[in-house]
Amino acid sequence: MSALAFLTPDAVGGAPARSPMHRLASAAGARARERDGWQIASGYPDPGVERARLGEGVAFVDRSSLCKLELHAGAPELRGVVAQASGGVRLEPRAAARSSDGTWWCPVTPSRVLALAEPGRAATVRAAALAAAGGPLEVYATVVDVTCGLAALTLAGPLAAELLARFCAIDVRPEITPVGGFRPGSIARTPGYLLREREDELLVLVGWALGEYLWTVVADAAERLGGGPVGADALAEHRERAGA
Amino acid sequence: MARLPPQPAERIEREREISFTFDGRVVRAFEGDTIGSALFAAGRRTFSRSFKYHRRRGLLCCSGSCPNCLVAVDGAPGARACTEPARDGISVKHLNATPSLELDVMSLTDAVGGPFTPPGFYYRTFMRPRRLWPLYEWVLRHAAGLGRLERSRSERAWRTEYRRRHADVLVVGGGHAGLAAAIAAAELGADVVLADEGREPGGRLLWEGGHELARALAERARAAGVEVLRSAPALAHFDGLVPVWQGDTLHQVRARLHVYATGAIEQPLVFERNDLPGVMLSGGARRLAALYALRPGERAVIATTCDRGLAAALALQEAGVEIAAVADARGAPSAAVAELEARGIETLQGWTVTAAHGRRAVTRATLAPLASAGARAAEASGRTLECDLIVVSGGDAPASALVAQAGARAAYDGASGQFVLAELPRGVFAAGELAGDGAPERVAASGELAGLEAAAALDASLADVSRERMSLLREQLASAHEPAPAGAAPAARAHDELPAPAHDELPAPNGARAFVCYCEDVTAKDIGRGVREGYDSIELCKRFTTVTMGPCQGRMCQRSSVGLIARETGQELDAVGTPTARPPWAAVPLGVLAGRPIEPAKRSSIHGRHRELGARVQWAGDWRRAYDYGDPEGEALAVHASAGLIDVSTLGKLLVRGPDAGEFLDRLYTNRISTLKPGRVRYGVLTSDAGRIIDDGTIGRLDEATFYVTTTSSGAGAVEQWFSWWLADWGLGVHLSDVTQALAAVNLAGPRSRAILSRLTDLDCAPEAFTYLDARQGRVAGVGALLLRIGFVGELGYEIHFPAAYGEHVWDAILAAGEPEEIRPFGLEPQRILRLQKQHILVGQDTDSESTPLGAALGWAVKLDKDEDFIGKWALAHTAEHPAPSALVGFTLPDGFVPTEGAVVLDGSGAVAGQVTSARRSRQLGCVIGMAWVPAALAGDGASVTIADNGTRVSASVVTEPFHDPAGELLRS
Repeated sequence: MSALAFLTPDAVGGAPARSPMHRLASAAGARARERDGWQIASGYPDPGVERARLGEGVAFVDRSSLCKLELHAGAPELRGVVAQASGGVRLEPRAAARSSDGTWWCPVTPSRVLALAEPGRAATVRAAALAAAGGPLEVYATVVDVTCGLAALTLAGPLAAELLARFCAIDVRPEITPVGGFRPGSIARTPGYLLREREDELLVLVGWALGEYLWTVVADAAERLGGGPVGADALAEHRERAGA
Repeated sequence: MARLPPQPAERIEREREISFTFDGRVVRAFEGDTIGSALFAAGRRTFSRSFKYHRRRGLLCCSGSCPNCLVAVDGAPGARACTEPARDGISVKHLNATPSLELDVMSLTDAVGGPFTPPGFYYRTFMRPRRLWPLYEWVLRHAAGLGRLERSRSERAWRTEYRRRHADVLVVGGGHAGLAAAIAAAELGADVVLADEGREPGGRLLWEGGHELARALAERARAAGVEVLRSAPALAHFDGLVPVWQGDTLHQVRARLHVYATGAIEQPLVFERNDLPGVMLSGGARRLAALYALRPGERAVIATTCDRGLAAALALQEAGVEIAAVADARGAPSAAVAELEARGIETLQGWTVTAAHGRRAVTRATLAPLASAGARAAEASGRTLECDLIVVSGGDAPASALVAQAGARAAYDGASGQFVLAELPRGVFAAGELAGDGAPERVAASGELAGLEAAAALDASLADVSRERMSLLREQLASAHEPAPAGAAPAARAHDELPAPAHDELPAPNGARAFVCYCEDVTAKDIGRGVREGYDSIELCKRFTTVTMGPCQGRMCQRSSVGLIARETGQELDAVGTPTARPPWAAVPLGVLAGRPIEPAKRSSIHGRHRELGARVQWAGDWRRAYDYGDPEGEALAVHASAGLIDVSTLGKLLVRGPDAGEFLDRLYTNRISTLKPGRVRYGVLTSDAGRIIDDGTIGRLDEATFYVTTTSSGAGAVEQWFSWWLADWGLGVHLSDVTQALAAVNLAGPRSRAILSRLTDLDCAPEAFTYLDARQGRVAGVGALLLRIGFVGELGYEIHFPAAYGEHVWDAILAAGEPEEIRPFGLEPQRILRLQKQHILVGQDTDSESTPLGAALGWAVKLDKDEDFIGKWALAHTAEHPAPSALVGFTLPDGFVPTEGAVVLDGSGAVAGQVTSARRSRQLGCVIGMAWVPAALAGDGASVTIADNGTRVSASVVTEPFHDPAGELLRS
């Protein structure tokens, strides 16, 4: 067993992993479904409202179930580890790169990368990262599963940037933060990361223990813009419609 | 009052009537009215009472600059009636008058208090007798202030949005120049935000006949993509960040470049009773007429030092106001005078106003020639005219506060008689009146040039595109700035034909009611008194008299106060200077700055369960934690009797991994870590360079290269920074990961804990297989976990660390498995009782910034003999040679009295020699126990120390061993 295996959320025997926001999502009317070992908010009572929020206003989606891996190594070694684990991704400062399986490889510092993968891809990506990092200790690399270290929300819709501006000072104008732009910084007065996944989708990540707080802040700000939470299914459908 | 016939630029929508209440009475208004214009239309002339003397105050500026019309709207004080839109159904109330505006008992201070309340009287009185201070304070607190906040109000009612806005260019000021700048920059492709404090952009154009141009420019700006923020004053310039307040939103605008086109502020004149309702600035009177179709008076006297007053005379006459006379302080007539005379308006050249008369409002005005004004001779040579309106214009002062905050330097310009911008910082541009380009024919050019220059600074290629146009504009502006001949009198303002009188040519009123500062009721006499008392610079005089410190932030009084100080001290204006421009430039409720009331709070993934179990939740650092579940002593007893479960997810958790991980930790901790075997755990103390305790915790070795470090809950962030800092310095082969929030953690403790755990895990929990200070990985309730056989509470126990997403699942499983043993959850408070029984220290509670491990009975954890150097080793070695004068020990007290944490320990002579750091009642032990720093001589078992606590003295017995299970047999069982 790996020394760091206990960090990986892979329970056996039916224990569902839960986002730190699951109680607030339930209180907002979310339908809970189990997928890939996680209990997720798949939808809310009115799909029409969800569609309208995503298409014309702003919505937020709990994505804490994303697999998150931290890769550490010296800068040159890390580039090699990421290239091997991702199937050829090249790292550039301030920009995340997406591998063909949809995993984002986000450079936090030259010696630290955050990988973000859909929960269904978690085991594969984790195995690939561990295999790539598994060299001799002299040229060592470390892979830490921080899936449960970071809560995540996607802000989606035409007003996503406007919603972000209510609690975060990171400049997300397209010329400054284009799709793939990755920004470590202060999010709702706490340390976090921001990734522009699509033109109208901003993924924000903060500490897991701040998940409830983040939801509260975002819901409060979204309400003023006519927005609110939507489920994972609505987001998937929205992406499909957008041709992503 | 009947409205004037429809005016070309009026804002009101006559077909849409609304109503609101003022002090409970219904006031009818039109959509588009301000509260002030509606009240004025309803016949009200007194809008507020002044701050100190409770004098009647009426509309003065009608632009939100002065403090004369402050009211409370729907319970929120501090709104300016003259700019606050009237809305249907709102409740407006007066401020600072009891019981009513018309009958204010505090106005007695005006009648009798004046001689007794000079500036600074509060520094000299109310000193004796000291016992009466609470009474003085009560009276002063009730007399002072400009309104009261409601004691409670729903959060939503006060809600403010923060909105961050990044832009290429921020233009502050939406007058002609500001609009021109914004259009120029935006049409070249820049991302531009324009912030204007008016309800619509356009500035003076709106009421000086250019409203169609203003609206066309605003439309063009929007079409060019400019985000126009209306009713949005910029509050400050903080190193590139400009907060702009717009209703319930605070925009934090971060622009690469800034164009300030904040214009100029019309200045009042200082004369006797210049604050009476009916004295109005020319701009205010014109706004009332042009925008709200209101006649500001029936018969007016105009007193001016510039053409603005003359233009007001013509405009007001057109609005049906009879002009009794115009007193123009300048020595020679300007061209506009001919037009006045053609319309039959008498102009008194070289005259000014010396006094207003009237009890409730203006009824007469005294005018006098400038040479005699201010002296008694004025009475002989002057004229007193019947009127209900005195329109004044003392010229304009550039609104330079914001640009000064940005780093601009102003200097006195003798030619214009103004403090003008002498130097602008990089990335900041000025335009329009602020830049001395206020004349109608130049203001647009000035704005356009600033916009083009800003765009060119953004992108060099744009400089090429607009080079020709910029040259043309510069030439155009330069030709209008021909220098005045040497020795000439102060030159005319750019848009005036004639020079205004110099500050020392204007009358020097010395009456007790010639107000310089309307906000704070500071008179010309007060300024003189301040200077004579030695407060002879503007900064000192400002602090002494409070001039420029009121809600108007010096808009109305800065120039006149500087002029009066110059006159009193015989200095030039340049030598007096201007006071430092400080934020906020516009008065703003503190609630707006505070933002939304949502505090960042960390919650463990089991937090919801704690609430369901009835936990009392309290702050613990930045975490919300279960303090207890209603019975802290019973919860502690359950741990001794059977088993208890506590959520310790808040512990800091760091992974230290790499070939040099052991060496790295050896250098940080006082004991040896590299010798730890995989699968084992050790306690460790971190000290500063000075050998002082900064944190403690456990270190578990997971494999050769991997250590799992726990820290105190409150110290997690600091330790992570401490580690990172030293790692960067030493450059060792180590990776550091903070997994504090990734892992939930619980402590299952008590004699039955092994049995309970055994039901949930595949690990062999037998005492010989899983011994004290072992670290094991296994599954608990199906969840992969790291289990540490350690304890903080003095019983057999296991710390279980597992992915936070399973927090509730594991918690529920353990409680369910322990049901036969009557397991109880326990909170922070019972944990503190239990740890005190073991004399485990809490860093920060039992230690302070001077505590060393040697003094805190942790000498066993300091290995001065280890080969490696460690942080604090030198200092600790030195400390070891010089025994500490005090030591941290346990103590017991007879049951009944629990000393306050912080109570003092007295030595034999009764002097303070230490303090109590922790104390609790222990039902398990049947007595009160605690820890205290005591003199070293008394730090032996059985010694008696005296504890003094709020007048109570008790004798305590020193105990140096743990109170509970001193040999640690239970832990190891």
